[in-house]
Amino acid sequence: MMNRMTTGKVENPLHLSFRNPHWPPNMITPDNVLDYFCIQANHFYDMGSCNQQIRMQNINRPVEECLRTMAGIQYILWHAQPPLYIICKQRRNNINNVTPLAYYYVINGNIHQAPDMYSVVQSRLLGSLEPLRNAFQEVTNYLRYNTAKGYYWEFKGRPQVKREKKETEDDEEEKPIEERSTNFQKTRTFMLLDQLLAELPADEAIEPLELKPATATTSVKEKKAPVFAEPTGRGSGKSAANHE
Amino acid sequence: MMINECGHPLCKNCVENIYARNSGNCHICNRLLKKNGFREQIFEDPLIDKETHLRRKLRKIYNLKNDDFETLREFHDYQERFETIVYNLVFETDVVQTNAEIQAFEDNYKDKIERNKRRLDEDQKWVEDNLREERAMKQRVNEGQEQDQKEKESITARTDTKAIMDELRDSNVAAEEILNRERKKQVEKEMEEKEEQEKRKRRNKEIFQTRKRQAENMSFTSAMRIAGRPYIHQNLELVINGPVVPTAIQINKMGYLAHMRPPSAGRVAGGYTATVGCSRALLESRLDLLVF
Amino acid sequence: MNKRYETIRHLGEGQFANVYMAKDTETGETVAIKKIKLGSRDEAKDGINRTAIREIKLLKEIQHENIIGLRDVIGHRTSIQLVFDFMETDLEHVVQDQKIILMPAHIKNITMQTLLGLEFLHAHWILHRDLKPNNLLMNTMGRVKLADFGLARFFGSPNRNYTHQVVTRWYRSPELLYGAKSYGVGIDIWSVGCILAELLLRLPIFPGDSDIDQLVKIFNVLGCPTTEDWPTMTSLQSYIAVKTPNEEPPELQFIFSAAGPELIELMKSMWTFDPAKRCTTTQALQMDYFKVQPYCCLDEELPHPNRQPAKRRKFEEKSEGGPGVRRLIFE
Repeated sequence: MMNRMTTGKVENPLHLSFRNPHWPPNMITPDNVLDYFCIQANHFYDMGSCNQQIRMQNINRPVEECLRTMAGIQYILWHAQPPLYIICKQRRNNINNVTPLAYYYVINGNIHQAPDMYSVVQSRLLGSLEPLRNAFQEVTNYLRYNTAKGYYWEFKGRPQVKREKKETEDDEEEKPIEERSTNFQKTRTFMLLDQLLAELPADEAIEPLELKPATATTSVKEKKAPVFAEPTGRGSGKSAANHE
Repeated sequence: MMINECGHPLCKNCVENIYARNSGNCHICNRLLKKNGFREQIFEDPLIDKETHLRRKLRKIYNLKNDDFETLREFHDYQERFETIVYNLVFETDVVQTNAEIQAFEDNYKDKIERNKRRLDEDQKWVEDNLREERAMKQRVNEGQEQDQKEKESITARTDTKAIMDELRDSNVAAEEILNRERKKQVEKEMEEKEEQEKRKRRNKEIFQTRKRQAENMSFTSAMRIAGRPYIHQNLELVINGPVVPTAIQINKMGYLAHMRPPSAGRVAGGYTATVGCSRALLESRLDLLVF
Repeated sequence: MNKRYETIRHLGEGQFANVYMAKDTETGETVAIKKIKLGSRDEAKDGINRTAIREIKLLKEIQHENIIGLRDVIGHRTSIQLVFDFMETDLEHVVQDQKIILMPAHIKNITMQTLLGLEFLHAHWILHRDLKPNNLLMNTMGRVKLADFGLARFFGSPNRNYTHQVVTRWYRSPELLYGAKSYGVGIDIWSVGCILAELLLRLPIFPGDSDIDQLVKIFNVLGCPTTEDWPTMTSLQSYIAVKTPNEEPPELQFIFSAAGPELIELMKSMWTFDPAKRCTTTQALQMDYFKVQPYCCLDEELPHPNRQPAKRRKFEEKSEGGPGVRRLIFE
C-alpha cells in the first residue's frame, strides 16, 4: 500500500521534490515514467486529471491516443533522454488546442517542478542584490566627515570580547598605536623632520653623556628615515672615546 | 586629540588616564571638567575648534532669519549682537552676563525659535532647486540627442545630392557620364535593398509559419470558458387535483402517527417506517378529490 | 399482424418476451415492440403473464422524460404486444465499450437522468426493483430512460409482504440479502449507487456469486455494518453476522481515485446500510455533486458505442453476469 497524502494543494511547490520510494530509479524507462509520476503520493499530480480517469476506468488503449480526445488536465511525456525525463502538465481545451501549465523534470528518480523564467530571474537578482544592499546599509553607518580630515571610515565599535583582558595590560604598559598612518600624516611628518633637520644640522649634535641613553637613542633613530644613519656611527664612536 | 569646553586639548590616552574617575581638573586652566565633555578635536587650532563648537551650539538658539525682523537694520543689529556673544564666550569675558543674556533671549523668542527650527534652510532649498534643474537638463539633453539623430538621417540625403551637384559643376568630365554613374549607383543600391527586403520577408515567413503551427496547438490564455451550469434541483410537484399532502416532517410532528400501528423491527430494518405508510395513505385519500 | 406497425428487425430476446424494431406507420417514428411469449398451453390458461400486467398497469400511468414511454398495447386474441419508444442502446453497452471514455461530465449527466426518472417513479409510489445498466436505455439523442418494469410494483402498504428475491444480485441491497419482507425506495437507491460505481470503474463493483458472497463483497468494500450504523439489522429474517478478511475497509477515495470528494459523498449516502438513513432521490439530487464543476454535460454529448448494438442477452444470463467478466479485487 502506498503512502496516503492529504489532497491539500501547494500553490507553487517549486522548492519541493518528490521521490517514489517503491521504485528504484534505474528502472525508469520512457514507457513507465508516466506511471512513476502518476501516483497519489506525488503532490504534483492532480488526481482528477485525465490520466487518472483512464487508469480508474482500466482503459487498455495507449494513453497518448486517449488523451488526445479527452479535455481537461493531462500529463504527457514531453521529452525523454534517460535519466532525464520532462513531463508536461497541460490543459487540453479541444482536440487541437492545449494550454501548457507546468513542466516537471525527473532526474534519477527525483521529480522537481521546473521554475518559470520569472522565478529564476527574480531569485538570481535577489541573491545578488540583497547582500549588496545590506553591505551598503551596514557601511553607511561607519561614514564620518570632518572638516580637517575630510570623509573617512571609522570601523571601531565592533564588539570585541578579547579586549577586556588586554585593557589591564594596557594600563601597565603603554603600547604604541598600531594603525596605518594616513597620507596626510606621513607627508606632514616628513615635512616636520626635514624642517627640523634644516634648523638643527646633524653634525652639531650634542654628545650624549651616558652609554645607555645612546643605545636608546640609536634604536629610536634607526626607525626614522635613513637620513640619520650617519650620526649614530659618530655618536657611538664619540662615546667610546669618552669612556676611555 | 580631544578637547573640552575650556578649549585646552588633551590626547586620548591622557583623557582615559586622568579622567578615569569621570571628572578632574584641566591641566592648564584648572577648571573642573567631565570626561564625557571631551570631544574629538577637528581643527588644529584649539581656539578655532572651541569657537566652531560654540557657534554650532548657539546657532540652535539664535536661528532667527531675515524676515523675522521688521527692518534690515534690526536684523543686522541682531547678527552683530550674536557675534559679540560668541566672542565673549570664546575669550571668556563676561561669561555670566552673556549666559544670562542668552537665557533671556531664549525665553523671549521661544515660539519664533521653534518655528524656525522647522523651516527649510536656505541651503536645503538651494540644493533641491539644483536637483530639479539637473533632472530637467538631463531630459532636455536626451530630447536633443533624439532630434539630432533624426536630423542626421535627413541630412545625409541632402548632402548626397549636393555632392553630385558640386561635381557636375566642377569637374571636366561630361555631365552625362557623371549622371549615368550616379544613376547606376542608385539602381544598384535599390536592387540591394530589394534583395535584403526579400530575404527578410522569407525569413519572417518561415518563423511565422513555425510559430503559427505551434500556436495552433498551444494557447496561453488563462481564461477558461466553462460549459454548463450548476444544477439546482427543483422539487417534484405532483398534480394531485386535491388538497396538499403533508410532508414527512409534518406527519412526524402533527401526530398522524398516533393512528398508525408501529411497524415491527423487521419491517423497519427493511426501510418501511410508519411515516411511509402514512404518507401513502394520505396521498391516496387526497388523490383526485377535487376533480369534480 | 400489426396493421399500424411494420416490423423492421428482431432486436433481442428475454425470458418473457421478444423485442422487435418496428416503424409506426402513422407517425413515422421508430418504435420497439415487445411481444410477450405465450409459453406452454398450461401457462397460457392461467391468463396474461404477470410481468406483462405489471408493465402495463404501471407504465400506462406514468409519463416522464426519463421513463420509457408505453405508447400502445396491442391485444390480439391471447397475445399481447407492448409498443415502446425505440432506444438504440443501453448503459451496459456503453460501459463495456472500450473505445468510450466516460468523462466526469458524462457520468454526472447519466446519474442525473437516472435519479430524475427514479424520483418521478418513487413519487408515484412505485419501486422499480430491477435497476441495472442493462435496464437503463439510451437513445441517439442521449436521453436515458428507465425501462423493464417487469418487476416493478406499488409500495407503502403497511400490511403487505413483498418478496426479497428481487433485483439482479449484483445490484441487490443488504436488506434484501438479509431477507427483508418489507422495504422501500432504499433498494432502488442502492442499485443506483452500484450503477454509478460501475460507470466510474467500468466494472461491476459487487459481482457476487451467491447471496452470502454478495454480502462478503459488499462488506469488503464498505466494511461490516455495526449496530450503530443499522440498529434494526438483527431483526431481519435471514440476518447473519458476516466477518470480512481485512479488518479495515479501504477508503472509497482510494478505489475511485479520480473521483472528487462530492461524488464520494454521494456514493456514501447512497450506500448507507440502514435504509431509513439512506438518501432519497430528492436528497441525492440536492447534493453538492450536481452543483460543483465539472458541470453536467448536455444529453447530446453522451458517448455512444459505434458498433451495432449486440443482441439483448437473456435475462437469466444477465443476473449471473456473462462469461469473461472481470472481477474486482479489493485488498
